[in-house]
This record gives sequence, C-alpha cells and structure tokens, in this order.
Amino acid sequence: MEDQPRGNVEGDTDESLMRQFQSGDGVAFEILFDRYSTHLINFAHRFLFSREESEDAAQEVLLRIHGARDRYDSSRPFRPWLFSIASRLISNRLRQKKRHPLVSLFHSADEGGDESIPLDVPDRWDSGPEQIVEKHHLAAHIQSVLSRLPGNQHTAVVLARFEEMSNEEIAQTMGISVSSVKSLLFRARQTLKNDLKQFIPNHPVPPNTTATF
Amino acid sequence: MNCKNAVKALPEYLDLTLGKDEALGVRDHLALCPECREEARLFSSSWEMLDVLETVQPSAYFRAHFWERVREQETRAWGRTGLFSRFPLAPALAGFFVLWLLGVAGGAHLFKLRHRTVTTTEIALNRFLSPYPQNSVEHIFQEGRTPGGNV
Ligand SMILES: [Zn+2]
Repeated sequence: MEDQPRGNVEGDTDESLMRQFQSGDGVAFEILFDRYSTHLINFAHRFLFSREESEDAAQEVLLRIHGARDRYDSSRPFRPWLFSIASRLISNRLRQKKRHPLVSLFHSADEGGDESIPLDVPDRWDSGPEQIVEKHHLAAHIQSVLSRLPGNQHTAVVLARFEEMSNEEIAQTMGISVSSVKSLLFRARQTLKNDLKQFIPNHPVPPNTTATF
Repeated sequence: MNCKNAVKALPEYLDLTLGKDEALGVRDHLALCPECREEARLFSSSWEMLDVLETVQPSAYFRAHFWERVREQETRAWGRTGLFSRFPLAPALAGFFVLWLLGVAGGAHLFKLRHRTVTTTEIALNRFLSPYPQNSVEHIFQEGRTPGGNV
C-alpha cells in the first residue's frame, strides 16, 4: 500500500491536503503528518523541555486534527490553525504542571527541581569538553530565560524564531493583532538580549562565566 | 531618528521586515550611533543564540503510537456516539420491532396452516396410518375405495 504512487499530492498546499482529507483521502493526512510531526514535537519541546512529553503533546495535536477535520475551514490558512491548537494544548499542560509540580514525569523536586535543565543538548559543533559544558550551561540558561517569559511572549518567540512565522501568521495563530505581536516580540527580545548578553563575546561578562561564543 | 525609536525598530530592521523608509532611517542612525550599533549586535547575537537549543527528531515508534491512539479514539467515539447512545429509545424500539416481526411471522404461518389445500396423498397416508378399523387397508379394499377416493 505504502509503495503505491501518491501522484502530486506531496507538493500540494496544506490547505489543499486538508480539503482532500476532509473528502476522505487518508494519504493527504499522512502527508500533513509527515510535514508537521517534527515541527510540532519541537514546538512543544520549546515549552515542555522533555522529549517524551513533547511527543505526547504533538500526538495529541495531530489527533485533534485527525478527529476535527470537519471543523477546519479550508478557506483559512492551515498553519496558524494547527499551531493555535498546539498552543492551547501546551498551555493547558503547563498550567497542569504548575498546579501539580510533583506530577512531572521527568524532573522530581528532589532532583533539584529545575525543569528547565535539558536532558541532552546537541553537540552541534566540534568542540572540546569545556565547550560542551559551556553549551549545556548556555542551553539550560536559554531554557530558563524562555520559561520565565510571559506565556504570550514565549509563544511569539518560538513561532517567530523556530517556526519562522511572519508577524501576520503569528497574529492569526495567537488571535491577536499584528501590532500586539510586534510589541510582544520586542519585549521578549529585549529580555533575551539582557539575559543572554553575558554569553556574547566582546561584552563584559561576570568573572565566573567563561563564554566562548 | 532618535535612539529610542531606532532601538524599538531594531528587531524588525534585523529581520528585514521593516518598511523601506523606516529601514533607511535606522540604517542612517546606526551609522552615526555606536550605542545603537552595540544594541543591534546584542539583539542579533542573542536571537541567533537560540540555535543552541536541541532539535528533537520523532522517535521510531512515534507514528505507530499515533495510529494506535487514533484507533483507541475511534473506538471510544463509537461507544459515545453509537446508535443506542445517540437514540436512547433505540433499544426499546428495537425490541418492539423484533416482537412485531415474530407476531407477523407467526400469524402468517397459522393462516397458511388453516387455509392450505390438503392433497389426496396426505389424506391417503393419514388413513393408512389411522388406528381405526374403517380406515384399515382391508376395510378400504373391501369398500372398493381407493385411499382418499371419496374425499
Ligand atoms: Zn542611537
């Protein structure tokens, strides 16, 4: 079955694929699944910072899409609809985690309690042990800064920076105006700039930090 | 353009999403203002720095697990939205329909029994099997009648 040719359907727009899926074409959904699985997992990961939880959240989003196909208005862009569902589900999860912090599956309170510490950080550059430690430290710091941003700023940053959405798309996703998006992004970027400048070279750094970037 | 406006426009200027006129204003200001140039550098570097965050790939069982969940969801949905759940009177109506059907079928059978045509072979057979002497084979032959002949 899977080896059968799928025609030109893979080059179709998301909206067209959703229309085909609404008409009962399961292959169209599978293409959307392939197109967005990794995006959704990573989107969730920027908030939940746990691989298992992120996969679970991404599956939940895809389940909603699969089950709510008839509720999608195919005259409207798909991506903002998809990520608005993802944002809602993830913010519900974050609220639950805040309400029941000990329920967290991967970071118990007696481990130090900081859920923002990553389980593993990629070693994307060829670097020695000191640089790896530094990258871990930086990644943990970035996660911590992101987690401390107000929820809507955090969402705007993730959509802009990692999903490369335009301000218009972010506005559609978050259900706010473009000017509100600009304002959220500006405030978030100021916070990031102030909190990360200690890691930026040619800038006075605290004596206990050995930034290599 | 003053420093305050230049800094406010910096993220969009760096993302190349600022309008042409405003972008030229920021560019001219940056050429003259080292403080804003430093701000621009920090804005840019801190934004780039987010790349250090891990990019997660779906695990090997992600797809299989998803379809498993779809099947579970569909089974649950059928339980919730099945015929009997959607129409609470459906079981009673179904029972009534079955009884009605049995009644009609039984009635039709009885009607058929009462009004059916009895064949001569059946009458002859009944006579042969009858315990009464007038219906015995000898008696019938004595009367010179064939079985069922006088019916
Ligand atoms: Zn200036």
